[in-house]
Amino acid sequence: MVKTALEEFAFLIPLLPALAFVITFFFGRKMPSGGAIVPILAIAASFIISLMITLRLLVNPNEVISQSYPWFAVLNIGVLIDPLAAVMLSMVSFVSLLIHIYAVSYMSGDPGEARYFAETALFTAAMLSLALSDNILQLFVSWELVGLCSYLLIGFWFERPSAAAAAKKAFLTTRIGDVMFLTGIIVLTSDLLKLAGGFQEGTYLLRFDEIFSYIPQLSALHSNIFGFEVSHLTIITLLFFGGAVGKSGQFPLHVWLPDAMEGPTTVSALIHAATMVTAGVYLVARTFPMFIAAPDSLMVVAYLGGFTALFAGTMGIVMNDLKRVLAYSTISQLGYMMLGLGLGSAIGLEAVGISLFHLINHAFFKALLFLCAGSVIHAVGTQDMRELGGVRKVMPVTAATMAIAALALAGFGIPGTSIGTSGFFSKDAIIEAAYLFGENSNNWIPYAFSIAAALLTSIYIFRLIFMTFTGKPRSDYHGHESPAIMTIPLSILAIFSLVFGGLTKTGFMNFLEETFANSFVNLDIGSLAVLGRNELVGAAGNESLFVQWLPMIVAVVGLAVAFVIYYLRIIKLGPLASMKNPVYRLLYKRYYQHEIYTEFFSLGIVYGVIALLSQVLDVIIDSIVEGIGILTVGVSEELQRVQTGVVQTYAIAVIAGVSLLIILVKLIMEVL
Amino acid sequence: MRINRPLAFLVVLLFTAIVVIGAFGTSWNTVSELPQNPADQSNIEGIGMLIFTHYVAPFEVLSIVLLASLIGAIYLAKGENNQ
Amino acid sequence: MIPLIFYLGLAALLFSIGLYGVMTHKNGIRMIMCIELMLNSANLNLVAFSSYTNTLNGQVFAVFSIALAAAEAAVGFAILMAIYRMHDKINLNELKILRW
Repeated sequence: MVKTALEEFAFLIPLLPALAFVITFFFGRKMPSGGAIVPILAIAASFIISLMITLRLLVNPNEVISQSYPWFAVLNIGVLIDPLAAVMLSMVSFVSLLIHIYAVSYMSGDPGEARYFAETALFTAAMLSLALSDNILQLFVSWELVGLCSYLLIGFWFERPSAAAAAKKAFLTTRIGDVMFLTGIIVLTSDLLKLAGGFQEGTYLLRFDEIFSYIPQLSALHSNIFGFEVSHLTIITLLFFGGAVGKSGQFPLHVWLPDAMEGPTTVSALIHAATMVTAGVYLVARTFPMFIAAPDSLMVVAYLGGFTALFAGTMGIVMNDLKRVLAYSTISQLGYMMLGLGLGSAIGLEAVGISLFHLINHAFFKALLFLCAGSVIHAVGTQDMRELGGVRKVMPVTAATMAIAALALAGFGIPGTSIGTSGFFSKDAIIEAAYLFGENSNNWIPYAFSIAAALLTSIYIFRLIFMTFTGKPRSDYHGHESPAIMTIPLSILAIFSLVFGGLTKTGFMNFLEETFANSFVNLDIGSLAVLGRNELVGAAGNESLFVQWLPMIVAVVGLAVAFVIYYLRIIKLGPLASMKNPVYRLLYKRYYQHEIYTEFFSLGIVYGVIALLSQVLDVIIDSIVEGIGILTVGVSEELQRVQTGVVQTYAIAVIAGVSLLIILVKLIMEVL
Repeated sequence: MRINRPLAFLVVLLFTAIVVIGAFGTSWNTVSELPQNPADQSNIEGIGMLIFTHYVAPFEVLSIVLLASLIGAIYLAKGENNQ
Repeated sequence: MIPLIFYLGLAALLFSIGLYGVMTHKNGIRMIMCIELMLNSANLNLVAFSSYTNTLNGQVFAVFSIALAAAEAAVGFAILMAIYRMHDKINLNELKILRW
């Protein structure tokens, strides 16, 4: 009884927050605390339903919920909840719920509070709908809606010009990714229509199981681009990955994430730590069978993810703004997740497991980091770490939870056992997979990327902790601990960051491996991998002890470096960390990306070309229009001369006309 | 010099050429011999007969036209009262 | 006897001379005289045809035509007098109000 009833409620998961959005939008202003109670109840209900579905799937992995309703032609709207989606739904609703509770206190007193809760409710609805969509078009629609809510929320305090500019930048940068995503969908649809022979009644063309059933045929299609023979699957998957690059902030479309910190900190926690930026990872995971069957796609994903992890890490160690360090940390960790997915070319479906595991853990500790940062900023009033210091004395709970989150982010734990923070288990899994990949194909670049990024991660996060919480206050500030309504979600998230990893490690990854096996019939990852020319190796074997301990060693080294520089203050960085040092300057100015992207490229090239073209068009159109006028006037001036007013001329004309007429008639008569 | 004399000459030439060519190209239905004796050459009597029997209406109209043109010409040429 | 065509040719020649005179002279009186010339050539044509087909209709028509030519010349000269009173000359080229 309960089992069948649960399926009926599946569609409520995104619907309830959407209703909450409508109610809060219209009536929020009249309700206490901006109508926060409505979205909280709605998201709590969604969380309960998602959790029950997840538990049911854990017990019986065959009970995948799949409902579809026809929309028009071969398109449909539908719900698909398999292990991948269930995990995502539970995490999103849980983290969103905690952040909403926290935001009741954080946003109290703000005049736009009702608008805030309405927009976050809409965002949650869109994200949930993205996670449980069963065809790629619905996923794209939710994707765009999520991007819209991100724009609204980043520019929440829109009277500030920097916030409005940051919101525009975010939307435009992700737009580039969205265009690539849409192009991928178009190419996919046209190929599918060609293969299926037109619109077949009764089939849903873009549903995931339909797409996956066509993969063997799709991989046989090739195109010749610039002399290279590329498989269509590679094109499609790379375009999808382009969309993920935009949304998840990989290089080169990562520039919007640090600027997106202009929004309230709870927005950063919700959108840019836990949910929206993970939509890109979710997309790649969802279409993983396509990626693994396309040659070279997964390698691109892995390289780009690894590079982004390293790249963002280098910038995170020099930032002075509290939230900006966390933003670069997010970009770096997303690079890890992409790297994990890209390693699927060696380990197959397990890659989905390790990447999603890291995604969930990252959601917990990154949201926690952002919320603690918000707590500090709310209490102390400044974001610049150079003015902080010794906050531990005024905010002990916040300091403790943030320290736990830092340990989780850096990945502290004891290898080989189940003791450790969640971040340790998930990061370790990715690094292990990179090692396996390197062993197998003698390509050690992903491994190098991951280890270097781990070192940088440890350095910057402990730098943040020591600069903020320890030492003497570097400026005058008055702070106090946050109210309970803010510290309770912090504590809950801290507990999850600590124990979630250890408790669910093996179970989680096995659970996710069932994803594609049970929800889509006839899906054999092995055969698809052959199509993509990927060699699958088995699970992690016995590595040497050194390799097992290396991530932990690296993390401890990073902690030690930060400790020595920022806590004990033995080594003074002095001239090394000033703008006179060219390396420092390069990192601090974020590799001159703002100058390159905005000043040179957008304003210089694009705007310049458009201005030039519009001037050319002006000249052309003006000359055409004026030319017609001049032509008409000129012709008429010439023709005026016929009317002389002199009678004799008219007589000449008359006689000439008569003569010509006679000749004409004679000629015509002769012809006829 | 507003009148274009060469053009007028050419047009007149063209017109004359057309008429002459047309006239010379047609075979006119004529009598072979004109009347020879003087009695047959005088036809005033015959014209008079035709005017007052067949063409008396045009004759009357012509007289009225002559009257009208006479009156009109006198009026136009009379001018102001200083003539 | 003289063939008919000669009379027709003469009439055509006279007509064209009169036409050229109408088209070129700017003196009003000269123009009216050329118009008279054209009318007379038409009369010549009429009489020639009537003579060579042994009918009298053409000659009657010619009589009427002569009368009408006289009337028209009278009216024309009267108009020229009025024009002379206005402009002090009878240069018909000057009457060009109806031009552009």
